[in-house]
Amino acid sequence: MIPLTSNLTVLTELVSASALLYGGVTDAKRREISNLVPVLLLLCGLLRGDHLYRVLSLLVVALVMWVCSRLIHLSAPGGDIKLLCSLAFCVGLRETLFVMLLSLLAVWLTKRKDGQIPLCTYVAPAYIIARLFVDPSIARWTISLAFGIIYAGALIYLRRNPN
Amino acid sequence: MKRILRDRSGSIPLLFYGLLFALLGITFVILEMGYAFEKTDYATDVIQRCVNSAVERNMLDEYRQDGILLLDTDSAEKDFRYYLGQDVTDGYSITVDSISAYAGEADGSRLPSMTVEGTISFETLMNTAAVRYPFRVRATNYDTTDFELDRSY
Repeated sequence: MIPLTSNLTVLTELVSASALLYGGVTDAKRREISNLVPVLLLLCGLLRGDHLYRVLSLLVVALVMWVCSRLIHLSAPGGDIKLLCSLAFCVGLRETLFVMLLSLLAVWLTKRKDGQIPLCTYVAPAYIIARLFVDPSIARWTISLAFGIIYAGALIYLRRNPN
Repeated sequence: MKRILRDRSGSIPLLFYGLLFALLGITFVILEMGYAFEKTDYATDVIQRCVNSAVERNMLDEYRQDGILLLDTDSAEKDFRYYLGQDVTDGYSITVDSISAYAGEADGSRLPSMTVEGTISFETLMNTAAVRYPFRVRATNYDTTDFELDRSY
């Protein structure tokens, strides 16, 4: 649990959430995730400490992705591979799983049937909600609400103005 | 690797994502359970070693040469606690609920023994849960020159 107690944790929270939201918007618009998103997530992970656990989480996610691609002969796009691995490094395996569960729930709720999803678009809000479960403080609720409103506004704007 | 670094596309197949989640979930459970089993096993071994050492060290030697096995129960308890404090590594919290040490009978009808009951607590690898595992370890001192061991235990 990382409570919002120091400037550093607040900074990493803001940066990681902003990076994911940016990635979510670009993924929804162009089906692309900028390399800036995984780089910022990796930096946030580095600043949060407990590096052994984070590296272990990253390796587990990378290995399982490789096994998965071998099993069903489908591969994930590079942007999504980098996103999930850096997310695992940033928040650890346990929270990554929780974020994935929430994003799958969101996919199910939006009833997508095209078989391919813009991952970061779903991961970004899932991440913000997951962080709320980890540390449900008023400060985090406020930040999450602000991010949620900005993200929803950006997605609505994109839907109305696709170009 | 270069392909992955250059590729920025972000539309993952839903089937792949679902399978990835399932496999990661299984991996997570295996890692957590494996770690918990390993830690429990290690702690139980350490406690067993402490009890064995405490019993062995506090056998009253002045009676031993006559074939009589007697245990200094007070010292054995003290030594057990000392060994436990020395040997158990960080990351564990061991609560000893009861220590019952038995000095033994001079006629050999009951052998000296010490039984320790308590709880081992520790965090799992990814801090998902605090594991609490109850343990009961026992050490009995046998006279190895007499092969008719008491097997009533």
